[in-house]
Amino acid sequence: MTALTLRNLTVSYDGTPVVHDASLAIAEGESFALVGESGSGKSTILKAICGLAPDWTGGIEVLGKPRGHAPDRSLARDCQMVFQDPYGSLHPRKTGDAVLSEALAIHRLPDRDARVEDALAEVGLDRRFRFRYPHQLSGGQRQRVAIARALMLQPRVMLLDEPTSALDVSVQAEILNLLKRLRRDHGLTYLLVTHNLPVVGFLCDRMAIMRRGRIVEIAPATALHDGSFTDDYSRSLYAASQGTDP
Amino acid sequence: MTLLSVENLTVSFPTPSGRTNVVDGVSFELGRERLGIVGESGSGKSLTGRAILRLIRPPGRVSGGLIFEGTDLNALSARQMRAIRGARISMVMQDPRYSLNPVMTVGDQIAEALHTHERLPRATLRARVRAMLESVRIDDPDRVARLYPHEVSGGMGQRVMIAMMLIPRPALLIADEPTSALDVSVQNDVLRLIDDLVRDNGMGLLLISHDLPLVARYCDRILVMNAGRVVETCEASELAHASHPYTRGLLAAVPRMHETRDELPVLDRSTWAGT
Repeated sequence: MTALTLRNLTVSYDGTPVVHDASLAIAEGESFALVGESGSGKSTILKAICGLAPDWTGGIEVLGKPRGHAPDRSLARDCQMVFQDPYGSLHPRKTGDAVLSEALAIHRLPDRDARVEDALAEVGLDRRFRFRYPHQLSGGQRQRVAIARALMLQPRVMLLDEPTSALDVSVQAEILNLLKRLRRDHGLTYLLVTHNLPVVGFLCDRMAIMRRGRIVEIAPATALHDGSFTDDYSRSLYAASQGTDP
Repeated sequence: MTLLSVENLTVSFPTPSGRTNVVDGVSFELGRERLGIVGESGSGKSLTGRAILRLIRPPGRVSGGLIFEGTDLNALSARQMRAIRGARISMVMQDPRYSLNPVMTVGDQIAEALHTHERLPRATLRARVRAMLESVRIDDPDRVARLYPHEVSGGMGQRVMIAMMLIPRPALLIADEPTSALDVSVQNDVLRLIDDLVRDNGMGLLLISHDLPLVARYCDRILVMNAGRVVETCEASELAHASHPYTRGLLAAVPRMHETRDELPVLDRSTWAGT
C-alpha cells in the first residue's frame, strides 16, 4: 500500500507557484528523501502535505485517503511533522509535558500521563526532563522532545524537515540513530527533507532530487555509493557533496 | 614567521556556581598559514576567535597573552584596538543575513569598511569596491553594489561579507563558521574563494567550524577543542590518523556517502562532560 501519493502537485505562495507538478508515490514503511538546494521547494511540499501551505492544486493522498484543503483532524492522527529548528518549533513558555499532552487533549485521548511518559522514554529522555522548559534543554534534547511530540498520536507517516541540520555532528548521530530505531520499531514511513546527501544514505531507501520547484530525478539511495545519477543537475549536486566526504 | 601567538588564553563567565572558564588555557601560534579550530557547540572555539579581536565584553573576562605582529593586543587602548580590527585582523561571521546592515546598500557597506581605515578620494574608493567585488567573483559588480542585503542570495551575501572583510587588506582573517548557513553547492565555492584570496595575499587564516572533514580540506593544521581546551593538534593530512578518542569520536559520528553502518557511533558524554 502506498503511504503517501502526490499527483501533479503545484504549490503557490501569494499566487506565485514554487512547486511545479510534483508527483511521487511512497510505499508504506519506506523512507524517502527530498534533496535540493534552498529555494528548490522541498520544504514547501511537506508544508502542503501537513496543511501549512494551503494554496495548492493537484492531489495529495495520505494512506489512501485524499487530503482536502481544510484543516483535517484525522490526518493529524496519521501524519505528523518534525521541524528543522528545535529552538524555534517548541513553545518557549510550555514545558515538555504541556507540549506533549496538548495533542492528546485535542483528540480526547485517555491515559495522558502514561502516554506522555512512554513517549519521552521512547525518545530516550527520562522523567527528569518532563517538566522542563525548552530553554532548560540542550539542542539535541529539544529535538528529542519535538520528535516525541510528533509521535504522541502514533502516526504512521512522519514528515521530517531537516531534523538534524541545526545540530552538531555528534548530536546529529544520536538523533539519526533514534529516527532509524523508531522507524524499525513502529514501521513508520518517513518523508525527509535534507540537503545533506550522506544523511540520505544513512536513513533513506529512495530520494527525489529537486531543482527550482521541480523533481528532476528519483533515484535509489544506493546511487550515492556509485554516483549513478542520470540527470546532470543531480550529478553536480552529488559532486559538490562528495567534497564533504572524508 | 609568527603572525599571531596566543599564550594560555582563558575566557571566563560568571555562573550561579562561580566563574566558569569557557576557554581554558588555549595556546597556539599562527604564521601565514591556514589553521582550523574544530569542536562542538560550547567547546569555546568561537570565543577564542572573539577573544583575539578583544570582542568579549563584561561580565566576560579574558586573560593570557595575545601577540599580533609583535604588538601586545592586551596593552592597546580601545582606540588603538579599533585601528587593528578590520584593518589588520578581520572576521567573517556565520550568517550574512544577520551580519550585514539591512538599510545600507552592499556597495556602501564595503566602502565604509575601507573608508574607516583609509582616507581616499571618492573615485578611488569606488574603484576599489568594484575591484574587490570582482575578486570575490561577482559578475556584475556595479549592479550588485547598488543592492540591499535582502536582495542578494545567501552565497552572494557571504561573498559580500568576505569582500568587506578583505578590502582593507588585513594580515589575518578569522572565519567563524563562514559556510554553515549556506547550501552544500555554494559552500565549496565560498571556501575556495577564501582559500584563493588568503593564498594570493599571503594572509593567515583561522577557520572556525564544527565540520571536521571540511576543515581538513581547507586547512594546513587543525586544533581540536573540547570543553575550552585544545585536546589535539595535528596536520590536516594526518587527521585520519588522529589519536585522541574525542577526535576519533567526532570523525566517526559523521555519516558517510558510502554509508553501510547500521548505527552511527556516538560520543560517550560521561567521559566528555562539558559539551
